[in-house]
Amino acid sequence: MRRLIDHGFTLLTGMAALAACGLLVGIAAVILERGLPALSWEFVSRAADGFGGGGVVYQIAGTVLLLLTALGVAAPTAIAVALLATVYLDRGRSRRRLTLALYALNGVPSIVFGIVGLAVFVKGLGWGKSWLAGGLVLALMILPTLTVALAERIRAVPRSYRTAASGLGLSRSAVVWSVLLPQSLGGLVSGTLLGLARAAGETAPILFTAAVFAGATLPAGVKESPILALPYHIFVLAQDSFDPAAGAALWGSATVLLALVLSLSIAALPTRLRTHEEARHG
Amino acid sequence: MAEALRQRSASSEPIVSAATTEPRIVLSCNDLEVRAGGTPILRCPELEVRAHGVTGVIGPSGAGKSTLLKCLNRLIELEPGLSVRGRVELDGTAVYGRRTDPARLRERIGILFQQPVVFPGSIARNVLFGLRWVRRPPRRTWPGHVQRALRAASLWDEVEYRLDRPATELSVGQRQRLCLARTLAMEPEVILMDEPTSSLDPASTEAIEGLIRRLAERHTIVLVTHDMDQARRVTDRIACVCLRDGVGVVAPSVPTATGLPDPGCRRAVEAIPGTPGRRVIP
Ligand SMILES: Nc1ncnc2c1ncn2[C@@H]1O[C@H](COP(=O)(O)OP(=O)(O)OP(=O)(O)O)[C@@H](O)[C@H]1O
Ligand SMILES: [Mg+2]
Repeated sequence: MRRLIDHGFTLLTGMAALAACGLLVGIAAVILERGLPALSWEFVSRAADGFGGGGVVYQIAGTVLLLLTALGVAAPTAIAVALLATVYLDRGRSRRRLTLALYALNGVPSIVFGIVGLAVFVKGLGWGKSWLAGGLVLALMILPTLTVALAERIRAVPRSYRTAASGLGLSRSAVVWSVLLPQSLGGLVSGTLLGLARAAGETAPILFTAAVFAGATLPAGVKESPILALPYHIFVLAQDSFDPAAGAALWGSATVLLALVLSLSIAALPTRLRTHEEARHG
Repeated sequence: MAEALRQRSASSEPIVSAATTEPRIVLSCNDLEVRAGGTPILRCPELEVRAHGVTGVIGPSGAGKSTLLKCLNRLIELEPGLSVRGRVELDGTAVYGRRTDPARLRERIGILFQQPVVFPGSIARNVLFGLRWVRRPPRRTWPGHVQRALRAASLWDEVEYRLDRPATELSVGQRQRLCLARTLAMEPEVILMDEPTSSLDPASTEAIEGLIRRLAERHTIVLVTHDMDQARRVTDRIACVCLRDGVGVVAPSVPTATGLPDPGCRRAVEAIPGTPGRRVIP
């Protein structure tokens, strides 16, 4: 009987895994089938022209800029907050409050982040639509993912490592630099990946804060310097997908966005593998 | 470095005068009490550790031997839920004094844990771990430090040709000596050893015991053991920890040769199965 349940369970999990993989392959197939014909060197190297004509080079550049800004702001903040949650507030109520705040932040819908960005950066600080406003909103949005992933890894570092390092005379910050951060690098990388993959595709947060459909190239300053971005491009094109030229550009852009997210993951793969290797030796 | 050397020469002076005058007291505890969430788990009314030589701490499992050691270098403060009251002095300075830096203190009082804690990374890196993060000696002096520490811990011959191999390759006995090398590299005045032979075979146990005797010529050693035979072989003086009404109580140390004066303690210690290498309790 127990074996039967065991087999049944294995079958069930296998099917669920298969379904998940199938869904992923299906989505990729749909996008690639319609997007690949539109792809060409011109498409990724030229500026957009009218509604659906030309290429998407500035949309790519804008998205990359948004991601870099979000990464540059969110990664150091996540390290600081994660250390606060795990090391410096090691006991007590403030730590629980911090964790609660992070989970709450994670549950905030992205459109709300967009409106907050609109109110604070665009209106409040008078930046107008700006790449920096969009990057900051995205950073705020991915911060919980990054922080939680990193904090989990820091908590998973064996307590004995911390005790042994302290026993040798390392100060608390030395323990952080010598043991905790190196041991949880993988968590930072994977958390960053998850966060960036999410940020790359979000439209709502940049809708009011950063993106325009046309008339922008690379920003020169902060104020009134909007950018083009792939998800927003797709969003606008999709609203008029009966136009065949727009349809081709739409699926072409979707393919590029997918490729961008995938290449991000692949670029980070070596680091992830290496950290796993080290963890096994430990 | 220079500071450590100065400490070394300062601490070796009394060796000459020890024969003629009162022995120097390096570590002393007075009215020490450890509580776990309000209930006392360990009391130490009076304990003195004399310079050089080996002071043994013996007692049944769960009496609080490891806890006592952690009180001496303030590692106890890293244990969640435990609090300490009372006085501990190292060379006349208050260990728990408000102006005492715990990291500096732990540099001077090294500790070897019941289970050797080896960091991920190579053998050489493990030996250098404390030095690199606390004293930061120039890189060109690293090989010298590694060799000296490994020789002092009697591990050099076994690892000479594989210093760059992962330290986790080593056997438990070798890891214990690696941890000793890591501690010796810091040139501590006092070394606390928590049952360093509890998971070793008789041959390795004998080797470590010989090593402890040799180290005692230059360092002050506090050795936790559960084995009265080992105590007779290695220690000069011995203090007993036994449970009274569920609280571990540390009795003042006596010369090992005269035996334990308290019949209760004697019974508790004789009741311990004394086969070295059999018991492995984390
Ligand atoms: N962090 C803690 N919180 C609560 N109680 C603790 C904590 N650490 C240790 N204790 C308790 O203190 C007592 C002494 O533990 P300790 O590890 O010092 O014993 P020991 O004498 O070293 O035993 P062994 O010979 O098995 O190593 C035990 O009853 C243990 O449950
Ligand atoms: Mg113990």
